[in-house]
Amino acid sequence: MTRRSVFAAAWMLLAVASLTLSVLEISFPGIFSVAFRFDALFMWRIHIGIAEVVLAGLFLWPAFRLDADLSARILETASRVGIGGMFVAASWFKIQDPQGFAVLVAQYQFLPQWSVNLFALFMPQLELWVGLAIVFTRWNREMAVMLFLMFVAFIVALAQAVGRDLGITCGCFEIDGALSKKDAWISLVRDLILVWPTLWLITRPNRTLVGVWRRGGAA
Amino acid sequence: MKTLDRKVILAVVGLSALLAVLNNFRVAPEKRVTWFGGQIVLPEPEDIGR
Repeated sequence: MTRRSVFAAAWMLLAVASLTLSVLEISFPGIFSVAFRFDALFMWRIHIGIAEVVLAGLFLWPAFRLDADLSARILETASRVGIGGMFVAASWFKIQDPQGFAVLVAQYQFLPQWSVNLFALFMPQLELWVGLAIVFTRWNREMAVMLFLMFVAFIVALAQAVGRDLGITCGCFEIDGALSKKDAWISLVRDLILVWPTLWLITRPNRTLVGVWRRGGAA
Repeated sequence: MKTLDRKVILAVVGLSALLAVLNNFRVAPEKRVTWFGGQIVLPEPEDIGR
């Protein structure tokens, strides 16, 4: 490993850490958040989250200049594990409580009424299996396309909820608190951030995560 | 750009649909949903405009 590679890896780790922090900052301020530690900053947590995304982008630039191949491998691994893991985590509570999730889906007033329950049954399963498949199988591109289409669907649904001022909760990671929050636009910001690495994953070749790190499996 | 393997996509969608149906039988009766329908629950008045 050359010195350039070591520095590229360091920049990439900073970029991944910054992007992870931004998602936590925006979606789960109670778990780990810079803003959560300082009351005065809490109202600015979305701005801080977006700043962390910009920072992640700035860290990517030197990393790719130093060692584009290694940086792409790190980014591919982190994106597949991070986004796949997020979809698995998001699906779990919905699978356990179809009734509760169906109520959340209905609040969007977006789907025809006859399809709400079917959607509430089907979508969490799709999230679970696509999330697992992008981490554990070689079909990276197929799963990335499906994740991208799901993100687009979520963005459209959230955008219309924000536009119509429905005052609903996202229902992305929890059922509790439904109808009592107005966080759809926060989830919209998160999805608008995560759709970009998903789009980039579509351009990557099909291979397992182990295959990403094999010799010759160049970017 | 290389083409996508449609069989893989169809397999995942089909598996998800099958497990979605089975899951509705697996969960507790109070958490089951009817096959068609969906109920809109409007926000509490105090939540509107927050």
